[in-house]
Amino acid sequence: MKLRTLFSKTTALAVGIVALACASREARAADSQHPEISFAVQHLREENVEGPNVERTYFMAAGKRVVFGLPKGCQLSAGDGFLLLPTEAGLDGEIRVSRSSFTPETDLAAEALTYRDAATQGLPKDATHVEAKPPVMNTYPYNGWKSMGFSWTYSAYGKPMVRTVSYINLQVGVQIVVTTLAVQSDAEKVNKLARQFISSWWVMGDGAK
Amino acid sequence: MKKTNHESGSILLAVLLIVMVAVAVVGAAYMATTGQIRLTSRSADMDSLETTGEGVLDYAFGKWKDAMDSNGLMTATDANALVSGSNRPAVPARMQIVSLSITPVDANGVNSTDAVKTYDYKMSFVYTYVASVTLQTSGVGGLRTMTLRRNLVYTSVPPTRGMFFSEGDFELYKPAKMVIGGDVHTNASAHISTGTSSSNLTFLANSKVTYVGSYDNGIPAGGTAWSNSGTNYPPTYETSLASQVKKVPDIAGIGLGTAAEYNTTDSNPNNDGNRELIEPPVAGYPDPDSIAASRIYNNTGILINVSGPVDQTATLNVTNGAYTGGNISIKAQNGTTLTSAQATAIRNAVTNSVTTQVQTWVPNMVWVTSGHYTGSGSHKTWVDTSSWVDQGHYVTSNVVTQKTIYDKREVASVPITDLNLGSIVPTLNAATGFNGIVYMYDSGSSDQKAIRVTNGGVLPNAGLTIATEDGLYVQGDYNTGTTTNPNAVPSNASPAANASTTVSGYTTKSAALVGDSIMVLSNSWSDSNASSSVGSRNASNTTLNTALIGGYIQSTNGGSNGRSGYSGGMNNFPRFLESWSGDNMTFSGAFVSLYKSKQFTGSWDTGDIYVPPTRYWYFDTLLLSRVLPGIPATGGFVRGPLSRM
Repeated sequence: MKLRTLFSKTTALAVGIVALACASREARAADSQHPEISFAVQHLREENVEGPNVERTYFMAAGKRVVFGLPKGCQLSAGDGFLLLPTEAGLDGEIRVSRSSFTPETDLAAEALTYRDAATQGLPKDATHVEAKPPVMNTYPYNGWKSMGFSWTYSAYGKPMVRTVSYINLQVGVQIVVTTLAVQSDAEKVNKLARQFISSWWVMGDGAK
Repeated sequence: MKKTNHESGSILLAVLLIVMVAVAVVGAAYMATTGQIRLTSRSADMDSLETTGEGVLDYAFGKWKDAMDSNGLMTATDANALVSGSNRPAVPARMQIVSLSITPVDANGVNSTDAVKTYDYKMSFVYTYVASVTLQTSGVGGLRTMTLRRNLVYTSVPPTRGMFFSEGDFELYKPAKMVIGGDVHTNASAHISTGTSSSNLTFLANSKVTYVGSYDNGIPAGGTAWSNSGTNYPPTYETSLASQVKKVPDIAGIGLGTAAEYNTTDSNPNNDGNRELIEPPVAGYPDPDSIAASRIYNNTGILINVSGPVDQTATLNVTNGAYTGGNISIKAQNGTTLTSAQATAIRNAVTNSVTTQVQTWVPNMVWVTSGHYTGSGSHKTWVDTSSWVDQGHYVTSNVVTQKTIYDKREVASVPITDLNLGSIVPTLNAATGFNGIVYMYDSGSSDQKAIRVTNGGVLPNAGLTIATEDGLYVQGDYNTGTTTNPNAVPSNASPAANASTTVSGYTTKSAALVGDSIMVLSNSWSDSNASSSVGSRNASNTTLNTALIGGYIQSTNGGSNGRSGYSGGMNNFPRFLESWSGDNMTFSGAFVSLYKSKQFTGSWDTGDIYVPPTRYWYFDTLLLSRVLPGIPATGGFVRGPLSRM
């Protein structure tokens, strides 16, 4: 059982990396019009003004450091995006973070149909019993960032699945997409991990007046 | 050969002499042995009496402590009843208790019929009882009697009698520069260090540090994995470490008798620890008398329950003794009475609703078949571009919801209810029998919610405790004498050591703010910037004159959101959410950290959360004599030395 899970996760990780690599071609095509995002994981040792010093982990977006923390029970792969896989045995799901093909100038509420159509594209063709939930504003309500999320339930290969797609405008003028995919029984846990991950993000500034 | 008579008489005389000597020797030996036996017996009897007497007094101490824990202070009659009649302990055979008593005494050691506050030393009120036992035993040589006495001392410590009272570890780990005056006590351990040099952290001569567990200058528990560069320096003690730092007995429980009732292993949610102070009792479970007596919820004069977005246009009707309507109920109790107009004035000061336009998407998933041919002739191929399409539509509606503010430390939008204190001070001053306590809570929101006190510059004449089981934000100056002009407060206009913390002519009132956790927002706080980066949330000089009683986060090895897991230490007991760089937070009062926070559990960090202020923090010596409405004392029991009468 454990071996199967390990194999399953390893496979998923490999597929994820390949997918991220493939996605990069589309992303590169859009580079000329989008602010630059690099999902390469970097570290910075910061002397705190009080309390223990900290080692910040960050990626770059529009020239700013976006600090993040990894939730407990997750494994992170970085390429042209992030792929998070839960390490908890038996937890079947994944979280992807990548750049959006849109920019924050494409208003989330006004262009909801456009976003919805784009988000729908990722549904597997052989899905059955597809049901869409109403879109929800502020699915990731952190740091004042605007976000909008879509979710679907469907059946694939006899398994009930939940897929969510959220577009988030970061305050640095960049839009990202967070996609979660999980079997229905694990969807709540996977979505919680996604919220934990995104909630840890903050844009590093000077902090001083 | 024949002996002469003369010879026979000599022999007889010699024999008699030998017999006499032998008798004398035996007699002397007998006398000596008997005396020794008597002496030995007396000594053994007295030892036995002393040992037994000490045991009897220990028994009396246990009975007295249990009774004090359960029932509070006792009269002489009640105290004596604990060790009278069948309540007396058994003693060994041939020994009897002639008398056994427990009696309260006054400051001069004279018996009293009632408990007397006998000593007020630094942080403590002290009540002394005397346990006395007279024992008798019959042994070799007659009766032996012994009387032993021992003082039984209850020390009652209002937790606001020092600069900082901590139920958990007292931690200062590499804080920004600090000077501490006033006493510090922890019921756990003290970990105190500074990251640059000893001069960066100073305890003034009037600051005694007392601890129950251990004391060190190292990393707090759980912090071994923190990024730890450099050296931890011990702080500077103005007099000396030896005279300013002491290990002391536990000062347990909040409210007399509560500690004995605390039990986190049973199913009763009403006896879990100090946090009961701020919680309403859970219906359907027993609420032990001592804990019930210390609950601020039970003792409050005005009880405000918010159950949703408050409708300020709703009519307030009296239901079960409370003015109720529009998602709020306001109840006057414990001798406080409110008129309908006064209840309405209080309701109008409570705001938490916002109206927003909401667009709801009604989805309709449709599989749309589409495609096209490529190629021609026999190479003509159908390319299927069919896909799922959502052909739903939006429905627009107005929704009244509860206001939230974004809390960067919690990384959450917190449902918040504002209490505009400035607008109800006249009402509180006029309310008949108001006891100075307002308890307010949000029963309508889920796990994490908060009360915010605004415009608190001027407090009611009788003083004010505001308590909640929720998080408590205090925005702007508090108890300084002005609600309109922060710069009229010298500590805001010209921050400096010993700058006055009130406007001229204003005397601070007895004040306490009590909650799950205490967040201090400056005079410049703006909700609209709450979720922006810390550089956009600029604070300004702010002054508070109040006791702050709240919860703490325990240091751990790794916190939430990629944070270190450090508790933040005593210097972050009031939690900050702004950039105070170049700004000052002046505080005169006491910090009381009594329980673990239950609702606001976000890990400490600086990062995008706050930049620390220059802290001018003082212990308010008025708290040595003031009684804060609704704040009970903690207590400890001590046996005095044994005296033989």
